[in-house]
Amino acid sequence: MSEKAPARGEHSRTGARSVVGKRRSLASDHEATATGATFDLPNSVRSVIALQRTVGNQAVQRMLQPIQRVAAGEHKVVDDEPPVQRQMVLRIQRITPSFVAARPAPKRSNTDSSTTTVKEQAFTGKVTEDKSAGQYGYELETFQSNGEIQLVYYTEGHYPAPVPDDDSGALSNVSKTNWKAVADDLHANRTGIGGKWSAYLAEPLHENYHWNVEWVGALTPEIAKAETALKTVKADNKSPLNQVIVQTNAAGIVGNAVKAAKKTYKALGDSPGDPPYIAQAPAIDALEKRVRDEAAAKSW
Amino acid sequence: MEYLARIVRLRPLTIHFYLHNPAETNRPVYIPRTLGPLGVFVDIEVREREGERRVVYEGPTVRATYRLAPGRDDSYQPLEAGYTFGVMLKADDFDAPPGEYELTLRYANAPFEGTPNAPVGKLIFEGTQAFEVD
Repeated sequence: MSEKAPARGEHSRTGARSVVGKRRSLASDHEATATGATFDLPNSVRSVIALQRTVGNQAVQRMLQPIQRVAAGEHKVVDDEPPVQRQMVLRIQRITPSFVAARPAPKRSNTDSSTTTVKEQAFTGKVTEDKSAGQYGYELETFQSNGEIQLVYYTEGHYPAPVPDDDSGALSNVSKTNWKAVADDLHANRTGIGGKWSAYLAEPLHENYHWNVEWVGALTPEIAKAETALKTVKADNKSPLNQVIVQTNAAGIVGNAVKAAKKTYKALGDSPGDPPYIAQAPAIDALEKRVRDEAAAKSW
Repeated sequence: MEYLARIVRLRPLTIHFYLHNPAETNRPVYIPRTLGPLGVFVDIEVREREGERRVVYEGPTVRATYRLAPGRDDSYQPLEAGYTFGVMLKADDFDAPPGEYELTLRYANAPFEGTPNAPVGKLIFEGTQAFEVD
């Protein structure tokens, strides 16, 4: 087996010097705004700190009423714990990432796959300034993950109810002679790659699982971790140029969060029997039942 | 097996990737019936050719629900000696600003590694190509 390096390509000279392209690297996807805003704590946090200074730790800790999770899943208030053992936990304000998946019109093919594609990530944030500490910081404001779900159906001959493309139509591809083979084939591949027969609705159930459960589930905690890490991004405010350093470091943290999420996402199983295939089964089960019910109703 | 790729368009970045069974083999070989879409069997990465050599584009992260089953004979096809089989791969979310770049393309056919009746084995390729956007 030999391997050849790709040949040099033909360049279409577009003369696009005046066009500013969209680079998809995270380092330039964000919009960070330098502001003169003072570093600000949420009022709830500020009042807790003020109270702590006034009346001391024990009073605050009594107010916080720490809870302890018990095995049964209930919560129990603990009153007799020594105050000095307790830690005060301040909640960090979290952004809610938004997930936007474009859904082009479905295609038909007996070879091409339905796909769920993670596309570009975009975030906005701003450089903050804590004048008393003499530092710049960074605050993430929004995060959006874009993607695309392209459904690909088999040709109509693969569906018991070929029209419309939601399994609700007449079972016109099912007959007295093939109903059992249709039902058995659907059943055999309910959590796998379609056989001779399939259900339209299995496609969105499968792809939605990739996006709504797997990708959202992989990225959301990484963004939360990134927000925590962003709290540590600091640079002294003696030079305005340090705002750029803050922005660059912040972009790096968010970029690493996306990389970590992609790594988690790619490691998830996507073979027959894995969760995305199990997610498609209800649509196939419902269609199999329709076929069997039809056969019973017609005494086939 | 030989692997060939060429950039046929810059906006959007479009790559013709194909498998070639050299005439000298004098025999057909089995190959998977599908090579696309981009991000499933073929991944690409574009980085700046100079300076910090930053990665400016990573191909899409794609989950594909196969139409063809890796374990079925009809998921493979013979490629005669002297012929090619290829696909046009489009990175429709990448619009390169003017500059000099290096494209890295990686191909792997897993899990479509053949059946006893249509043996394929592991097909793996990585190559780079410089290109320029004016």
